[in-house]
Amino acid sequence: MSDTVPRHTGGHAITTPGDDFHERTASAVADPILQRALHNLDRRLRTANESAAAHPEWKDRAAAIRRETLLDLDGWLDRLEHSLVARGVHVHRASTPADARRTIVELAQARGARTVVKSKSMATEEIDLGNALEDAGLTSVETDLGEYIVQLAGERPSHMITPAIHKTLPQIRDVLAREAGTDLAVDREALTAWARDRLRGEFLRADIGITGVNFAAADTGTLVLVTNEGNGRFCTTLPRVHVAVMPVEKVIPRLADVGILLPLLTTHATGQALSNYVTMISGPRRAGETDGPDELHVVFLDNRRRTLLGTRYEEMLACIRCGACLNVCPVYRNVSGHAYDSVYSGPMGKVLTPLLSGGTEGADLPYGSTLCHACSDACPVKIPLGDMILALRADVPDPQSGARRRRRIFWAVWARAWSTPRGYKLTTALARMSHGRVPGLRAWTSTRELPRPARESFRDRWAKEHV
Amino acid sequence: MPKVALFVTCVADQVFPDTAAATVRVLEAAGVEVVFLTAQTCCGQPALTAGEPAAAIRLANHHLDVFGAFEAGAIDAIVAPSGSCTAMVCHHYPALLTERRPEAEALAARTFELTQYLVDVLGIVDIGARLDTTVTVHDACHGLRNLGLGKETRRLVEGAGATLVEMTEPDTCCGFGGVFSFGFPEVSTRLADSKLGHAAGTSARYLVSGDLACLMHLDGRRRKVGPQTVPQPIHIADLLASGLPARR
Amino acid sequence: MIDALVAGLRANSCSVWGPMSDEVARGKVVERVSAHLLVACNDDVPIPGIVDALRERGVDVLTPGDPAWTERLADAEVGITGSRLAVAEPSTIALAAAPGAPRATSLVPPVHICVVSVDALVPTLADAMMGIAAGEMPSALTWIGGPSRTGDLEMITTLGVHGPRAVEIVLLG
Ligand code: SF4
Repeated sequence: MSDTVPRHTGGHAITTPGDDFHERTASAVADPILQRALHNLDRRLRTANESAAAHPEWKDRAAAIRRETLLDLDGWLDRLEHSLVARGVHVHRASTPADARRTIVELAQARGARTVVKSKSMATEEIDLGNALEDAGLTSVETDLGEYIVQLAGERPSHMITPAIHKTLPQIRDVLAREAGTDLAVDREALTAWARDRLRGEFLRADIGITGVNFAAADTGTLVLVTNEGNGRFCTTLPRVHVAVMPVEKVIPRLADVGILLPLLTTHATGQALSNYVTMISGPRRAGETDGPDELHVVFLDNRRRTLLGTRYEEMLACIRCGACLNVCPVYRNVSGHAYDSVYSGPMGKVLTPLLSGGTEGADLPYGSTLCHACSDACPVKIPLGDMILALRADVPDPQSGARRRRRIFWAVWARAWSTPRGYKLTTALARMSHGRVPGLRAWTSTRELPRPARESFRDRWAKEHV
Repeated sequence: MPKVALFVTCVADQVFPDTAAATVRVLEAAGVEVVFLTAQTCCGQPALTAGEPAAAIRLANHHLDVFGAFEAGAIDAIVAPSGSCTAMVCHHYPALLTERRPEAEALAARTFELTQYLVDVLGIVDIGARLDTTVTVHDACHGLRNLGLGKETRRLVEGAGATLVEMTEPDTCCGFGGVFSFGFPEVSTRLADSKLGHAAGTSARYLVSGDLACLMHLDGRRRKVGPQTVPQPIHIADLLASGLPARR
Repeated sequence: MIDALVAGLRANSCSVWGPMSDEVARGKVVERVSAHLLVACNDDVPIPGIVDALRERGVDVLTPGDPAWTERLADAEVGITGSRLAVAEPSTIALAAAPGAPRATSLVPPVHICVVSVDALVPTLADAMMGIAAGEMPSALTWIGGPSRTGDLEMITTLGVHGPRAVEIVLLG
């Protein structure tokens, strides 16, 4: 087995320490190197903002297409499956991450595969496929440069478009030099050239290429993949087998819809009018063709997505994974992706993580938001992320838990008092008498002064002046 | 003469009554008659952001009882010196008060944030205040993104003769976020520092905003860190009222 | 439309030549690659006699029919392809996989030269998608807007990470 990739034993190194989201945000803010790396994100923010503003009407059209899809998701999936099968594609339906992992591992083993090359995909992160393949004795190599760096470091991506955004160039050099076993210069060109050579070998040797899917057109049975580096093209050109992992919401009704969705995705993701490579795959290699995979498999991944249909969170399935909501989020911009300790980070991660885990993971994420709604505004498909984050505070976690019950009682008592003018006057008079020294304010006052209640409320002043 | 019911907000009522009084002065200077309903308390936003919509709904029902009681035509509008509390009524009430939705929507339709009412409804940008100073604006999030405000404050500032100096990222959150400022004080404080830094970069005299909560957060941070070289945080109503001729 | 295509491709780090006649284009391609030893050339490059012209200049030309295509492609210094569909805005060029037109020609060699007829140009991606969705889709349709690039190193663009670091477009017409 190749020694190019460290063995994973499941799980990832936590680079941002802390037991809960709050503790991790505090460590992230206190980490000067991380803060320096995160400055680089501001550049992305500016370019993406400018180009995204160019075609405001696209957002409406894109939002309409995505909602049309969700109205009959199962119907479109059936149509997609039908079109794919007609093209000689094998379709597998996986309802859980474990199903998806099993399907792919079995498929690889049955073909005697040893090396798998992967193109960056959030779906494969979601099902933790790389570790599953390694555990099954295969070598799994991430081929997106940022993702490769993160894999070598034993970490997980901190941004879905720019996985290594949390690392500075010297840190990246250290990771690659350790792998190379020689010294490498802190130089973009040199580091890129080294990675190109190394990964070229992996592409040539790989038995299977694994990718995600950006869009899948139901009418023509076409998978659309977007990359800039070209690694996605290698994964779908050289290996004998191509496996695409497709979360169910990636289906779109018509290939023509790509004309709107694709430029919208890339402007919001990177500020590019279009990514440098867009690959549209409609089946495996055909008779007489020189390259392309002999076998093409598509794994439809549900992982609780269909349970969101018909709920107030349904629109979350409109997400096209552009990363714009991360780039504009004041919290994300200061703490980066690892603080979320989940595959999906930023505003969309705050919504998706609790929903896809049934509330068992990331239940504290929705609280780490200022509710500024910058995410809702930035989203190219108009997902009301801010409202969803707010709603999740009520819907997650388990309403029967002790802390949750205490909180409910506190606010119920408050609401009871403040829903009558008399109760309001009484409680505010008490607060005034204590000069605002009520317990639980230290978290505020250690870094900020807190004003005291005024000696006389406005209503009392008004009453005096208007007798 | 337009007649307006003041939706004072609990924060202005209890902590910043001067700002509430300034709001009345500004409205009156714009030729508006102001009435005050003493039964009002709080719109319920704190409970909603804490994740307790049931408690918020109770307050929302009370707020709707108080402000929904006007006969048709008895008042022209309900006006609050807060984008955030206005957004609670306009953006969240219709979804929260499912059983009283038509009432909630009617209430939302006549509730306005102060600058929104002056500029967008009355069409007034000069209320007679005269300010010989420099000002930079922080776009408070809920006014900006739930209500679509931004130009209103700027036009009022310039209408009063003050010089407007834009800061970097005027539309980035100040980090308050209600319960967030308690639960995540490190990030919250970091965001306040960024905002204060951007404001300081303009060398303006005042940092003006339409939300007392943001101002309380920014001023609290400014006072904590000491040397007061950054612009003084001030509510748009206080700023405008300070430029009005003395009364009587 | 042609101006938009040229401007967009250049802004995206491509070299663009033409529009020019077949004759001139043949000379251009020969000039661009004559310094190279091994050049891979797809069968659908729309310049008549291009392979012979290259061979006359002493260039070793690898074509998809060559039994050693797959092994030798790794050593090719240039890949030459032909396109029958291009979009002005956003500027991008489509390559359809077919017998005689492998996917790897535009991917494996460090320099990619693509020959496009301006008749193949449509204004927007939406127009192009309407057109192709109506016809039969190739097994792989690859849209190329410029050289391989990454922003993964502190978000500063670096070219040629996996695919070609140089893309040259020759326009016919
Ligand atoms: S939620 Fe919207 S902004 Fe965020 S990644 Fe998804 S599509 Fe992009």
